[in-house]
Amino acid sequence: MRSLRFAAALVVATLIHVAGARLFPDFSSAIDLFLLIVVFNALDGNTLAGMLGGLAAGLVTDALTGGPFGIHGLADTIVGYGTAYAVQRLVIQRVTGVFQMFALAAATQQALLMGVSLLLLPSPEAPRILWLMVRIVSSGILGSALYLADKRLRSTAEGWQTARSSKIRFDK
Amino acid sequence: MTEVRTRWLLILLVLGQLFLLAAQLPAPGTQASFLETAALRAVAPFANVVAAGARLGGAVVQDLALRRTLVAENRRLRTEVVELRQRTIHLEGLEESVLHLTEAVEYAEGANYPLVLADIVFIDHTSWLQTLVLSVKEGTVSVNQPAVVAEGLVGRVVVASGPYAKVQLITDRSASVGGMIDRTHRQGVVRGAGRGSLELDFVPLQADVRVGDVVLTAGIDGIYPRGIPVGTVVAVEPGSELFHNIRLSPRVDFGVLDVVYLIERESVPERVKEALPDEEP
Repeated sequence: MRSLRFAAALVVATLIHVAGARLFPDFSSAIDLFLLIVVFNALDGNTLAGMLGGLAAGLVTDALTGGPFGIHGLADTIVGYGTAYAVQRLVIQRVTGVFQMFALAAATQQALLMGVSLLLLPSPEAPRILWLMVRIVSSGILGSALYLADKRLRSTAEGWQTARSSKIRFDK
Repeated sequence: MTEVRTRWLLILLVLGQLFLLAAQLPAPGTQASFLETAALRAVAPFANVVAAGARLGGAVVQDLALRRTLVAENRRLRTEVVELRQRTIHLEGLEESVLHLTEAVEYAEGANYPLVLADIVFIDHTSWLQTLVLSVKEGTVSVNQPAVVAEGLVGRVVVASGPYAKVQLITDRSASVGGMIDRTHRQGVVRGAGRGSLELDFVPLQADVRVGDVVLTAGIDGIYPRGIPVGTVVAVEPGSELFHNIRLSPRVDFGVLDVVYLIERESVPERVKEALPDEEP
């Protein structure tokens, strides 16, 4: 069930990513939806799921972007694992914590991408600082919004379930 | 899976991907790896779907926008057509007025009298077009004002009542006009003969009169100015007395009139007409 949900989220992210890039040329520079999915997937602290999710999402990103194939896969694998690992050791209850987690994940991903590029590519492209900042901030904001929406959805579903079960009466 | 195994798996994955990345670099431009090809095959359809959706959406949006534009344009054009039709009708009316005025101006240049356009609102058919009722500006018409059209003389105002005036046609049996033959300047009196025809009386037998001669107003009756075409001689017969029996055809076709021009000219007062040479004015 979890992998299906993740796959569905990946499909939706792909569609939005492609559509966004069609509408706004800088969409993919400003927002990384795949990273959001990777971090969100790893927020429950499952390192294996986080790592594999990162791998899948990264490879999808690689398929959609230029550069050496697998570079995003590598970065997102590490980010997914790292996020889950961090969540295991930190208590994140506030939205600001979630914001920091997503922003930190985005920064880490960018750092990894740059590092791998420096290691492997003969003449790597210098990162655009403005867009780097935008991506980190947007990841934090969108990740927090995603987290809050999920929380509210779960709470509504639980409320509805409780209300539904309280109506059941057993007559003697 | 234990955390240690997961960690080993992570290391394995990272190394594998590094190897994959490294394997791509030595020969840039060579064929893509199987994994990359497979990933692209897996992801590309989504992009294709989005592109098709975007194309479809774009087309729909464009169609909707175009439809909205067309509807608005159609509404605007319909309004414009109605306005243009009204304008055309208005312009046709103006054109007709201009034609009439042009005729009037041409006529006025010749006659040297100011003309006032008057619409015919009623024609007395019962007595064979012998009177016309005109719609005029109140107070601008007086009795005995000559009524003309471009073709010639129509008659004179016999009644002026408020915004209406009645014109007696020259074909009326009781109407008479001082006339002259244009070619010879021989004068006589044109009378209405009924049935739309005219007679020229008091032209002596010795006078030269031919069929086809044009008869103009002579300007001797104190009502009509000189030189307005009245009729054309259609028959000349010797009379029983000293004068010719001359029949005229009116220059004006009274059956097609819709407007006339009233000549703004004071007729000679009756008092002056009847005054004796030695009488004090």
